[in-house]
Amino acid sequence: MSIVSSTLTLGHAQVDGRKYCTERHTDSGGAVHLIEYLSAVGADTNAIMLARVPRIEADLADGECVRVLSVVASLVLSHQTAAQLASKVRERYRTASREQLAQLAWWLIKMINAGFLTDAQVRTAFGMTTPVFTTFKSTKLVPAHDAWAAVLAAVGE
Amino acid sequence: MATLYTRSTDGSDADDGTTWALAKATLTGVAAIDTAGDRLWVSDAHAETTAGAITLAFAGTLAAPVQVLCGDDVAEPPTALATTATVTSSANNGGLTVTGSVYMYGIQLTPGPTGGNSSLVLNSTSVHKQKYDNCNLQIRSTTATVIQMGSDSAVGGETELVDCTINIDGIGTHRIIPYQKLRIRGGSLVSVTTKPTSLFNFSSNRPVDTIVEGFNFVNLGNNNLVLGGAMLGSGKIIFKNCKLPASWSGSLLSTALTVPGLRAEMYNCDATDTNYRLWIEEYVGSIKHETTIVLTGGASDGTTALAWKMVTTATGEFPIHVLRSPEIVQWNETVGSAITVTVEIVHDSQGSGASSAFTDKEIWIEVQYLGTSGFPLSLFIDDAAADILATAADQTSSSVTWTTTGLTTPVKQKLSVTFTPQEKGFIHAVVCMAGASDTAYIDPKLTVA
Repeated sequence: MSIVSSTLTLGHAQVDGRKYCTERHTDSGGAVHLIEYLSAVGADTNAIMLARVPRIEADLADGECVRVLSVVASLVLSHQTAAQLASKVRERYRTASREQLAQLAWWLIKMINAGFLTDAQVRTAFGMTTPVFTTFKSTKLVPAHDAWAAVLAAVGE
Repeated sequence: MATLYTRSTDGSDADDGTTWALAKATLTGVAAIDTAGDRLWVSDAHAETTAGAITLAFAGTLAAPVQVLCGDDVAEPPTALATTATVTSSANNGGLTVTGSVYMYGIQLTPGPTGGNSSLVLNSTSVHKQKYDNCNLQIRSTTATVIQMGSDSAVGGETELVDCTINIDGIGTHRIIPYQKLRIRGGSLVSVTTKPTSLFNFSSNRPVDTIVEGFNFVNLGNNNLVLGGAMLGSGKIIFKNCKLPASWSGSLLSTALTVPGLRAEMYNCDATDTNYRLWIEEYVGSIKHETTIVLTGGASDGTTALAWKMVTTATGEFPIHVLRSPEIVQWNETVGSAITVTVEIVHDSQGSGASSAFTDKEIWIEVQYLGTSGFPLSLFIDDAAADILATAADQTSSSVTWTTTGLTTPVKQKLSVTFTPQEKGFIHAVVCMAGASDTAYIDPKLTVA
């Protein structure tokens, strides 16, 4: 999903001549993203607005990655492809540890088993050959998934 | 507590490090033999490059931190500090990690040039204090990496950067991620080719407690200070008295927050000597300074009349989603007699009350005062609706004089409460807004009668 329209509104001048500039960016899902900054006298506010669009799109994709990691019943992506999401999850996996790592592995296996992500997409994101990924999946991802599933299922007396 | 020496030019990790002549060759080498409280001198000529990941596991404890000091090696021990020692990984995925309680002075830390593991990870084990003084902290990988303080699994801890330079280059998605309390005092961003699009990120399950004071952001470009959106961090990041790039069109947050928890505050940070700039962002809205729509005879820094522009997002909702202003604080000498505290506001017919006035479910003042005799136990009073079931009532109209440039149909109102202090002390007033998508201008000056 991308930003489909961007408009800006300039406020009144402050005593130093600068103006609050409000950018209104609408994405293809209809969501509006507001940015307000203090624009310098003579600034090309239109060029600034257009230059901001790809940054907002990148941030939206990052934010979507965070959100979908908390969901396992579906995978509805608006700001990126499944392969792009897999790459982002791979980057998180790289530096994760302990519970966070187990959660990521659990989510990846859930997504693969549900058909939302394919082995090939995850394998590509991890930069592995098929035999290496098969071993990685069976010796790392699946055990971590099982361990976290056990934690989720744990109950008291 | 020992004094040990490291010098790459003629040292050897096989030596015992007890003199310059027997210096260790690498910080990894000296970190392998140090004990808590040791002073580790690093030569000003030290330029260590390792073709692999580097872990500097110092033995420092909270009670006895290790000191790692770059010094002029003409004397033993040095009598002057220096800032020229470097520790560099040349490896793909050459991360650089520093653990243990340590005070480090004058060292440049540079992880590898490629790979997603080429991060600089400081203070990543539990309950340690690290302080970096006049150090140069770098990341430069061509894959997304971070300068990280603490970790998602480390408990407690605190990192402090004093007069450090931060050099983040390579790609735009590099970030600084504090997983623990972080204080940055002084220092600057280094000019680089590819700047981070948003400098700080708090995607962690650790509380946010970061303050940046006296830092020079002039090389940030038109980029953002904090990554917004679905920020998982919860807490506060404060920027105070910092220099921003000329004509900066970046933002305090890259995008509006879509989840509650984080509050980003920027006090007196600008590219010119305005000395009054204010910017606060949180889930419910934003607060910025205003110098045109101001109250006659109202708040001022002595030269420039000032107001606060408070804007709520669509999330504003009484009484749960409330945008709270900074505190307006004033000393009170009255004891045992009722006083009335008032704050003036103006808006462009934004309210849902009669003649578009704001109601007491859309904006109100909350005052904390010393209302308990014999103790500094505060009481609270506000002029909000009594509870969620109460019918909203218009806040009182006002006849004071505002400059209303840009407002189509200005509505002037005042927020006030009357109470009886029982002790001398400070009155703390906060203006609260809970209407959805409203804008109000606040005179941040208490009138006490």
